[in-house]
Amino acid sequence: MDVSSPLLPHDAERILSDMIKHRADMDRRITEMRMFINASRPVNRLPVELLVDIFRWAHDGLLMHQYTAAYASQLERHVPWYPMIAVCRRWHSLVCATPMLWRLVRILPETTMKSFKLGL
Amino acid sequence: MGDSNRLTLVASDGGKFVVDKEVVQMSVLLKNMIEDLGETDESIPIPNVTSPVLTKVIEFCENHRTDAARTDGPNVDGDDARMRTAVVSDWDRQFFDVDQDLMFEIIVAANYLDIKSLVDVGCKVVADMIKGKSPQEIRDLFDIVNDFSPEEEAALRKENEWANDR
Repeated sequence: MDVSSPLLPHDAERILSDMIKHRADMDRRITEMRMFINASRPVNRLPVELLVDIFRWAHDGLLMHQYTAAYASQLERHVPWYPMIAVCRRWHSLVCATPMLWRLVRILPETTMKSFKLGL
Repeated sequence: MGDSNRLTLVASDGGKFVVDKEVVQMSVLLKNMIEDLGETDESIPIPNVTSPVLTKVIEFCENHRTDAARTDGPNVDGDDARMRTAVVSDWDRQFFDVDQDLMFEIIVAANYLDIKSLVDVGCKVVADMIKGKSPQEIRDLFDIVNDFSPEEEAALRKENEWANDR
């Protein structure tokens, strides 16, 4: 394109479209590189089942994710999947694929409809 | 003919370790191997474990060799029973006071060798490191990079805000 000639609207639209596409492609590659880096970290070399065990232990020392009175009172204060779900994509996928960590939802009288829906 | 109560383990890098059979048998994998082999002077190769890691694993097993007599054994069957019996002593915490590379290699090796007491103690030590920390603090702790896009992160925060706010 001749830089001295005036930019026409359709050229500008095409350039902008290319830039957006290029940026999306760069974002995707950055995410892939970050995931690759994370996969090499020592903690992520642990087998999946051990990471799940760690998540269970980390949940306020409560180990039996079964509906007992003790577990219900723990759920009131802490949910077992947070903050693990927000650390990285691998941990997020792991938590989502482990119903043991989120199958129970504590509904209290003061629970709002919004919180109830989010919990579900 | 060597001492029938001891046997030699060979690490992946060729390091040799002469260990009491009683200690080695804390590993279900090695216990089964010894039973299959019967009386033998042959050394046992541990292809997935390096010498520094095997040194630590043996150190743990030697320290916990009497645990089997106190409980139903270090390799109590069943997930729930395991979770209940795993106790982390001061000695265990000191044992895992090593760099993260070695710490996780020990846990992976214990998992491979099927030494459940070491796996459980290791997992519990790591869990204690995570406990009470925010996602960013956990990333800093384990040198994890945030691989969510800003949009995904915002959505995650929104989806879990009820969990944060309670």
